[in-house]
Amino acid sequence: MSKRLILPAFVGLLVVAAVWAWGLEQSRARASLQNMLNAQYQNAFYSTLTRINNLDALLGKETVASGEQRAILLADIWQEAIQAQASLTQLPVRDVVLSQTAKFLAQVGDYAHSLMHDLARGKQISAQEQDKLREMRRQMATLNKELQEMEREINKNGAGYWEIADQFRSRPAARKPHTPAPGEETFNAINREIEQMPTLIYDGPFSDHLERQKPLALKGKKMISEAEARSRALKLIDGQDGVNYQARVTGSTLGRLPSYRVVIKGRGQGPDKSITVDISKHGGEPVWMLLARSVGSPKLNVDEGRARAKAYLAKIGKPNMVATYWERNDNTVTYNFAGKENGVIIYPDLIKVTVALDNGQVVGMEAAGYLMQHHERDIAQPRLSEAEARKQVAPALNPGNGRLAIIPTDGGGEVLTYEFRGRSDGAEYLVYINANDGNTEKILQLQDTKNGTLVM
Amino acid sequence: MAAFYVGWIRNTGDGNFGPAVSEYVLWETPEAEAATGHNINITLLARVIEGEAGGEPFIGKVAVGAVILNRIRDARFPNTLSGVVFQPLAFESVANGRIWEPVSQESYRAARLALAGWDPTHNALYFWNPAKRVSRWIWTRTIFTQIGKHVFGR
Repeated sequence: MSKRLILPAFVGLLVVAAVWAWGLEQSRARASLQNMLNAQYQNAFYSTLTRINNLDALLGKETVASGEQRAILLADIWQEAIQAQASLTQLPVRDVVLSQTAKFLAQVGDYAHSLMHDLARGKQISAQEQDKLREMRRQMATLNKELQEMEREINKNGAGYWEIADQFRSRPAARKPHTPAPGEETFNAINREIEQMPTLIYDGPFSDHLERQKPLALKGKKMISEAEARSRALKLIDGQDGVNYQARVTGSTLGRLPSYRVVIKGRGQGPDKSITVDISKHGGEPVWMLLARSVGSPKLNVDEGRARAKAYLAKIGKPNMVATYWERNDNTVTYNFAGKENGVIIYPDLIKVTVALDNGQVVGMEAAGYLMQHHERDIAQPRLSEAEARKQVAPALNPGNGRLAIIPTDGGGEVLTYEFRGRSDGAEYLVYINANDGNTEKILQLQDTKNGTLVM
Repeated sequence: MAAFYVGWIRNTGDGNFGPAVSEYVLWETPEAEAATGHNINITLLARVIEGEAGGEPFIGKVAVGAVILNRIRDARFPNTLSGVVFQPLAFESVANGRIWEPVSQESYRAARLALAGWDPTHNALYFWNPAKRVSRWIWTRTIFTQIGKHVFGR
């Protein structure tokens, strides 16, 4: 080798060595990150497996238990099911693939919780409910078996089991069509079995009947035209004097409350002052309205804002509403209103109104809850008097005067109660006593803050 | 002065509130908020809104926030905010780290409105940009509405 080449060759070797060392370090770092991530996934998987194994056994015990043991087992089932669902949804499997299993677990927990409630108030578990529990147990055993088989695979293949297809590469060209990971295959098989689970209807938030809930307030109402929607939307806005507003239907929406989407602009005003309104196709009722303008420094206080909100509701044809809770966000306040009939507060009939404190303009309203729940109610005379109901409230609370209130139940139903407010150990509480049987339906804790009253 | 929706608040026993149909599942005690200097739920929701809909119109931002909250209340998804946001493979902005970038005031406002119950999506559980490459499965969902570049469905 000529002397001229010695130096470049040496430098070249150095570069190769440096690149090699760098590459080695990179691959080590990558392997270490991969192991850390896989450990998380394994943890989620084994936690799911353990909980489902427990649920399998607990549901079995529940079907042969009696007396107070039943309630204790139901409480365990509730807890295990919630934790199982939480672990399951941490697996690196697409949500759609997990959704059947996740829903099944959530419903098992929710169902156990609702039966627990029944037992606590002296109601017995019916033969039909017993059958449901048995069916759940059967499904849980299948799920358990499938997951045990999955575990065998994981035990064989180790950490690499949870290999995720590169869905989220930044360069679109590098994206590969989705190839299902091994975990996904197993869950697809599980889904095919669990899909045969019969519909589950009970008094809980995950009951199947809530999925198909129809807006009670719009029952039997006629479909309105686009032109009608425009004129209704124009009546709904709290416009400024002297501004010529124009409404345009920009689209329509599906879902529980099929609506026309109307955008309203004042002539000569910028797009930041445009107002969006959804008007239900049936009955032409407002679903929500929003004007997303910036709000300047406040000239009104919270009480003055509430008066504006109340006047607005009267103007749009909802005069019988009472203000309940409020929440302040920067320079706007959102007031919650509940219905009122014959002196009874109706909390499910909920409408929210947002007032800008700079000039008192109503910049938002939301009535989806009202449209879903409002209907003609035949409020029967309560069996208990206020004084009788008060005896059911813990004496430590030293409750004030109670008032009649209809409150929603977990499963979308309603119950007539007496609402009592009281204080204990420096905290304020609302207690709801069933006006017919004296059971405590709900206890809420109130927290006063500068931005409103929180209900916990 | 109670606030009710279709359902109630329920403590799951792990410090999180859920599963409930209530829209107030995400309240913090004033003490907790004072300790961290911000409302962690509003901040996290605003981060996803910014990451997923930073360039979208205001209503589109509220809509993305609403989808996240709808998921918390749905049996098929985790029943906590962090569970939904950080569910593996759920959100692109979590996967690419964009949710840790600075958050605009508009996204905070949208998060608050979504938490107060405004839902321009009419109870949607999914949103996607039809112009981008998405999984074929997503098109089997019923589309409820389109806002800006996103469609929303269930």
